[in-house]
Amino acid sequence: MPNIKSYSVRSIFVFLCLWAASASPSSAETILIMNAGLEGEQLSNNDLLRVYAMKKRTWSNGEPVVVYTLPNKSRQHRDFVYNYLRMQSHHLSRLWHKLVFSGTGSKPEVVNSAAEMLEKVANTPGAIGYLDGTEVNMASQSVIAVDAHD
Amino acid sequence: MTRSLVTRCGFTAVSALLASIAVGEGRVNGYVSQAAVHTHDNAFFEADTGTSFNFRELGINGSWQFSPQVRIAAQAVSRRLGDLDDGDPKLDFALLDYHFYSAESSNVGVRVGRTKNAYGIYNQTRDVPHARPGVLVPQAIYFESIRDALLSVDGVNFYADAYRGAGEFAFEVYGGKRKVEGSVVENLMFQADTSGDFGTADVLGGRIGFVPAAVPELELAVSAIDVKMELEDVASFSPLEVGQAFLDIVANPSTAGKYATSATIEPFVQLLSAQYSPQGWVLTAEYLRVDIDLTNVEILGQPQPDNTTKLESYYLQAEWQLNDHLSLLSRYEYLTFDKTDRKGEVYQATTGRNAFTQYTSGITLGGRWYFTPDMSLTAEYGVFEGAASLVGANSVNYDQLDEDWEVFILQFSFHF
Repeated sequence: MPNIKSYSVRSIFVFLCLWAASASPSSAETILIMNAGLEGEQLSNNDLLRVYAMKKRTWSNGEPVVVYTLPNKSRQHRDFVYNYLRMQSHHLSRLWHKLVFSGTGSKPEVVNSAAEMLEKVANTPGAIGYLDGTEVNMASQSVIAVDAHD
Repeated sequence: MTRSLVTRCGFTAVSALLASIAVGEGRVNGYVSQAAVHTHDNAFFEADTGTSFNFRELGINGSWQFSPQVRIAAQAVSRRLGDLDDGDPKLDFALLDYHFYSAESSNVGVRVGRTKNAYGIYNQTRDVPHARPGVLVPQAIYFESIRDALLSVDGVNFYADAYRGAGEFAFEVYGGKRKVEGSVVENLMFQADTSGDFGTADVLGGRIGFVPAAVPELELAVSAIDVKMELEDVASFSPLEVGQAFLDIVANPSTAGKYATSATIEPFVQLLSAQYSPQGWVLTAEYLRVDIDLTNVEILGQPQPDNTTKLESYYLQAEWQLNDHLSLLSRYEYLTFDKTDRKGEVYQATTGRNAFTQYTSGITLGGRWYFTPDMSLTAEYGVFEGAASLVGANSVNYDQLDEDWEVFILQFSFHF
């Protein structure tokens, strides 16, 4: 079980995303999470796409957007990209290559496990990520699970 | 002057990046590719047909985010493309990015240094293997003979984007100077290596992109670039040499370009782009028009009439990602250097040169196998009519190029 952080758990809301519920069974456990400081942030499907395309750089509260991703080899990443962003992970990789290799931007930071994702998102202001909710104990960290909507 | 300053700034940036990477704050990315090219009609940017392995790419870059507003990034690239590019390492970009305004739905910033030009869909990443649809970017639009002038500038690049109810608008405007390598422009204009050089291009360009909110899978863009190049460092001909050159031109009019002593080329490049990427598919189309003004032309000091030609090209392309490992590609493309002379007949009649070098149309079929998301093998077969897209290298005998030709390419690539 992951360590409980020393600072207070500000809010814990866990909703399974409507998309995920209606998508393929393999992604049914994929949960989008945000740092607890982003509570109340409205996130539409297009916003989420712009976040992962590294186009949306600032949240409504003024904090910089910090994007985390699992390795592009992982099943979880491919499912997330396919079901939440509605594109192929190779196409998203190409968008990231365009930023990195043209000097115009950066790709998201890669984390290697659900536990690391949870810890990074919980401890980084403005952070967003996704994980398999069955792999970690969400209640132990100060993150909010997001219900992305149109 | 500008170049040496930029190069110096670039190497300073690279040193700073290496230092930042050493302390774990920076990021490093790169790619490597190696291709085998098989031809039997026209060689591919080389003198000889057959199988050639003279095609490889290596790129490495680093970036360092000082703060949410300030970032530096630099990239060095080595590209071996037959006889056209020798693989010498080059500073691809080296820039300081000051992203001075960022709100929830808009961004404004400026980049200074050597920056890649926002032009169409593929210009900024045309050398990055996995960012391309197949082994090559579509040659009808991204053909080699104008690559250098359009690739990047040593100057300034302003960018802004705004997300509104209708969708997302993105603007970029850039200007500066660009060094043009080799003799590609002379080969394009004269199919001869003149004594002088179109060594430097003055570049001013911009791009407007739009992604509608109702169809976020669709991207539309308009790009325009104005380029000006003058023939520099021309040799002076002695009266005896002038006499010999005159006899040479009378005997063989197609050699006239070799004796150009003055010329100004001003291409105005206009590109429309559309890309639609519903799940599993990427459909892309681009249409290019270039108005090329050729003025101040002198052959052996004798003024020649001004000339304007209108280049036109386009392609339609479909990519299909079947599963995590396999994607397929098909593309039709068309290019003519002069839309009033689509088959090069007037060109041949007036210059005595090969009409087939003035247009290309063809079909490309390909597939890519991803061993992992970062390692792949791409195979591509192209069948073409006309050889305009092969213009560029000095070693090619343009008068010998065939009208009908095929090329088969296998490329391995890896990213990190």
